[in-house]
Amino acid sequence: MNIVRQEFKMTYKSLIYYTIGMLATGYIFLIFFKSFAQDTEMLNKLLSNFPPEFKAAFGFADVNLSEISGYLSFIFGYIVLFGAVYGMKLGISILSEETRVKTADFLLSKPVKRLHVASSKLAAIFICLILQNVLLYALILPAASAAADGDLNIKIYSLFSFSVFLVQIFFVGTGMLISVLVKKLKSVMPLTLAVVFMFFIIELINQSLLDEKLTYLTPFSYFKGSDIISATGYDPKYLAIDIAVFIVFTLLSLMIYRKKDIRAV
Amino acid sequence: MNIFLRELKTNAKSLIIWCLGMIFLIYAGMVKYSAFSKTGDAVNEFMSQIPDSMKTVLGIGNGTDVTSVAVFYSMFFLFFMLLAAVHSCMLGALIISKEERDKTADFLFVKPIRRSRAISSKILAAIINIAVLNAVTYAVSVISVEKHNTGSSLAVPVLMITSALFVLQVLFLGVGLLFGALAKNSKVATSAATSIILGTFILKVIIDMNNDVKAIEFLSPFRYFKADEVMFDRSIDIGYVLVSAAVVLLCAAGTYIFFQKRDLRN
Amino acid sequence: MQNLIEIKNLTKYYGKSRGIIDVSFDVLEGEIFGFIGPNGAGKSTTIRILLSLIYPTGGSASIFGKDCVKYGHEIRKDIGYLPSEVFYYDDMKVIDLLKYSASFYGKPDMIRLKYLAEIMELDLKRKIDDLSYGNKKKVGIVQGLLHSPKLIILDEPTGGLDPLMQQRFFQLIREENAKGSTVLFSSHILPEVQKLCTRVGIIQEGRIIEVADISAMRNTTYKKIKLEFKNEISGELDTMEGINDVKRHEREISFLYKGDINNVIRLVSHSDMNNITIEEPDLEEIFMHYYNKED
Repeated sequence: MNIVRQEFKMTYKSLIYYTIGMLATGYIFLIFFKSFAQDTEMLNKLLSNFPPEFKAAFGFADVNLSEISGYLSFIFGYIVLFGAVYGMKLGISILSEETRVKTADFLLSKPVKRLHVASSKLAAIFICLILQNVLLYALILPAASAAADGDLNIKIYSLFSFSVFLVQIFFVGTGMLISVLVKKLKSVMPLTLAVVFMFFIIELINQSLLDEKLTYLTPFSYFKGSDIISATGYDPKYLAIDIAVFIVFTLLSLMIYRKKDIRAV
Repeated sequence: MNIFLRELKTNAKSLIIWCLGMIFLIYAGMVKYSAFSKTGDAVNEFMSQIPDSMKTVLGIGNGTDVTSVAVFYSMFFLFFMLLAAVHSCMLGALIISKEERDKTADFLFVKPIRRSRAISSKILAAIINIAVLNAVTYAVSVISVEKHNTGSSLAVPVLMITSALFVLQVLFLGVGLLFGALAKNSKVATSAATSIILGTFILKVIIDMNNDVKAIEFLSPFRYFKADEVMFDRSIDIGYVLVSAAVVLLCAAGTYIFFQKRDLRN
Repeated sequence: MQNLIEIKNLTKYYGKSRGIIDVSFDVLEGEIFGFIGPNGAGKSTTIRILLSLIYPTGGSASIFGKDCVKYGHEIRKDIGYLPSEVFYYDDMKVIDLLKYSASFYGKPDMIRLKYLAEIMELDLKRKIDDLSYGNKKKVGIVQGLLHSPKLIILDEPTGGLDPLMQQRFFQLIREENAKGSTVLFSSHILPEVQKLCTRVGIIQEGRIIEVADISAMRNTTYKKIKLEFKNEISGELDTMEGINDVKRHEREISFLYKGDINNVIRLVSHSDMNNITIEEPDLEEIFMHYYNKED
């Protein structure tokens, strides 16, 4: 418990900053909803008989942005991006933090197993992520329902909101694996942003091309707004991949971390 | 000269990785293009049936072949901007702040040189780094675009677009340098760089969908240059080049001033 | 002799917390000046200001007659510095680092480099990253002395060196000093300072509390006196002036004494004594005395 507490203390500040960033993004987009919906309605009529490939290639969303659920899927696309950066940052940080700030000798010479250290840190991450997601869910909900004039499908909203967490655990696992594989990690953020944006760009390409194969590659495509809206649920295939990636990468990281040589200061 | 060479050497490995990332991106995009261009015939046929007035509403120029490689490639500009912003902003923030992070400040800054000279060498090395990334982007783009190109050569439009990219790279480098000089450590510097990149990117999306707030466009570098204007009209918005130049000069001046006054930690 | 370092009313605050307050002292050309004080007293702060790594809040410091803040880069041409903790670019080999370091002072003197490395038994081909703490320290020593600096600044330099290496290191410092280099030697290990230095400055809680010749400090100020009485310890001792750091053990008493020695002799002449020893105190005892005075 002491490690969990210490870990949480060290990271709660960035939790606040990221959560504020995500909330602000959500609010700002929601403010624009009404005026945007009116503009889009006309365009939608115009586009209604265009082939989907065409719409995709020109960056028109495959959801109806003049409806609140479509618009929310668009908003959460960006909230998920923020959340992914946060998740990746946490994932890369935790197992490498001690060697970076040279406290590894302190912590790992204590009478605890490495596995205990790692799982405590993982627990701290989960506390952060759950806290963040609960806050997001609770604080964006009133704004969304106000923007929708009460015409909000709570189930669909919840699915969008929960997808933030699902994408985050993908990046936590990936980040942890990267951090135990890289020999010497000096700065977290450059690596975090590079990897997350790489995945995000693949998603952007995918949005224009609608290629099923690309969808497997990037968690940003796993919980697509159009699918959630039409099926009122996640595609079980991608949900399974997402969770599997998290579990496999995490277990792999823990196994490597257990045997890893800790460098002297 | 010694610091300059040293910086080139230490950054060489990460530069290679960044270049490989860029090459992968362009390559993957082009592979996708060849698949897209096949289904694209149907789109083109459909396009010919749309009345011209509607095309104008949609912002599609008359006679534009939407499946041409040039149109497809112009989509890449956003990706380039995102990657280049991360690369140059982080490079700027770290090249200044890493001596303290690695505790080598007590080595380097007790040498008989002015701090400003060390900064100049570092900035020069950083500019070489972003120029290499830019040149690689250009070369790989031209090679892969020309392979699919059926019309006139695209070497010049691609050059235009990578030039615009270079302006943004320098801009983000400048911002990163200033963060490096101002922040209390490299962690804060890179976090500040992160929030600037994410913040200005979100701002770009907001302005994209809401023209009412176009007045604050100058706040987001991702909005400075539009791919289609740069590539097809061959015009780079001089106003924003000047804005970028002004920001970079201010940032550079700030970097020298604040770093000179800085208490170096050990 | 000329003043090589002049420090006047130097003050440094880190935000609200104290670095050093009103520090003034001079280091003469050609001497080995010891700078002693407990952890956190302000030794490193003072040294880092001299090197213009940090800037003073008040007061001034000059080296070779030039102000440290204004002419830092010129001054540093003739300074060799060994920090208390050594960190170098760990992707470099030892030889690369030494050459890189030398490149800031003109052409590297390879003969001298080899000579120094040999004395310190330093393997030039190894990677910095793989070196032990002590070996990194050796890199620091060679790196600091390579350009034959006029002023050598050592900040707690011996940590991590084995006794043999310490000895060689001190020998090197003495050689450099004999050739004309001035040395500022900061330490909290007093026997070291005693061995090497001619003068010392004592710093405590950010303030200089004494600057003196080592010999003068020992000879003229304090005597370490131990008295063994046959019967009871003479009660008059309790009222005597100039006694410090008193330790009693049954019929024995020991203390540091500053004042007229005849007072002590007169006192013991009234009592039956088993033994009397009068010694020069070592620096450590004087030092402890300074600490206690503040309490």
